[in-house]
Amino acid sequence: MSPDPLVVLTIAAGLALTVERILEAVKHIIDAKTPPSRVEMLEQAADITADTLKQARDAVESAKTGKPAPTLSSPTPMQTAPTLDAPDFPRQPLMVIQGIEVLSATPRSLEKTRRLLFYQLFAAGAGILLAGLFDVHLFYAFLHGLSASPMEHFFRDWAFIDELFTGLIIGGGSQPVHLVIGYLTQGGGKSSRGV
Amino acid sequence: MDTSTSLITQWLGIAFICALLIERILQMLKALLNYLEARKPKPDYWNLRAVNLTQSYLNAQQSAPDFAELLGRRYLLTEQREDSPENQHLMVDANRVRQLATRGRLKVLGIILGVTLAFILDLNLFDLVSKAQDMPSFTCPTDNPDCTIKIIRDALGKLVMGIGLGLGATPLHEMIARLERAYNTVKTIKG
Repeated sequence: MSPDPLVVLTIAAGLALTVERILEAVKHIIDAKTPPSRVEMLEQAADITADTLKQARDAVESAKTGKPAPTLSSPTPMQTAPTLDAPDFPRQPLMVIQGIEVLSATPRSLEKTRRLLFYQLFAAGAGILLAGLFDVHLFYAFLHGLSASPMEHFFRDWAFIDELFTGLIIGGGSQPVHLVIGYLTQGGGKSSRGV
Repeated sequence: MDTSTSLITQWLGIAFICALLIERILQMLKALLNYLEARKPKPDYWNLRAVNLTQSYLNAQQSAPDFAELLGRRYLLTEQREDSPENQHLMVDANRVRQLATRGRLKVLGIILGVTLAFILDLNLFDLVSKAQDMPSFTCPTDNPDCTIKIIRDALGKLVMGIGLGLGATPLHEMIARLERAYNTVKTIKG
């Protein structure tokens, strides 16, 4: 019997959620075992100082304008990237060219980048392992029965490549897989239903 | 789910899965590049690029203001200093130059991977959308079954699909949705 692609995708989403939880647990264990570095402690201290300063500024502003100051519980937008007018932290300029300051590059934290790389590789490894254990082959499931696709046979004969790719996708977490399920089930390929 | 819908879902699914795979590969590559950069930092390289960019921006202000504006929007940071609140200080941050350069390189790599996958898996965006819209596929005249326009259309469809795949699942979804809306409009106009 041919695998139903959406069922396979749902299983992949479940496995992705499992990887996510495992990764979360591993992160907690590693964070508990590794004492924060001096740089991290300074960064934390800087964050707390910045928050306190902001609250003080808000309080002064509120006293001036009469508007209530935003409380700590008020929702604030999550910053995903540094904004144009808010550099990471004040740094000494490397040089000034006709009034434009050039700020020098700061080295990346070796510990932080190593940990991030480890998490990425761990998630990918766990995803590949689970894809193999549960026999989840996303590419074969979706390419199966598409007469125009010459790759169906490739993924059937070289199942471990499919497992590798599926594992990488599973390692990316459940949110992207859920997104794809959403696109496919809402739309189902018909524009009138949303895709 | 009828058979045709199922086939379209399969085609769409394979496209989204490819986009996810590329996203994942790029994420891992980014983590690897960051780690390698942390191991062997090369601040001088990025500092030099930041200085060169500043020079280019200043030169372009005279010769090509549009280009200067583009550069400025991308790389210039402004900061209000407390000692002179009326003056905005302009800055070029080498960290930002590094971040944008890495992002750009990864995006180009993603598009290359996407186009390769689109050609290998025979994913044609235009065919996909016309199938989803129940519109007949493009056919060549009977006396010339391999007409040039079909070859160009196929290559273009795969190229656009590859770019979509390289940009990620959400932009790809957006592209398909827009194209479907355009097809719908054409259908409505044709009656």
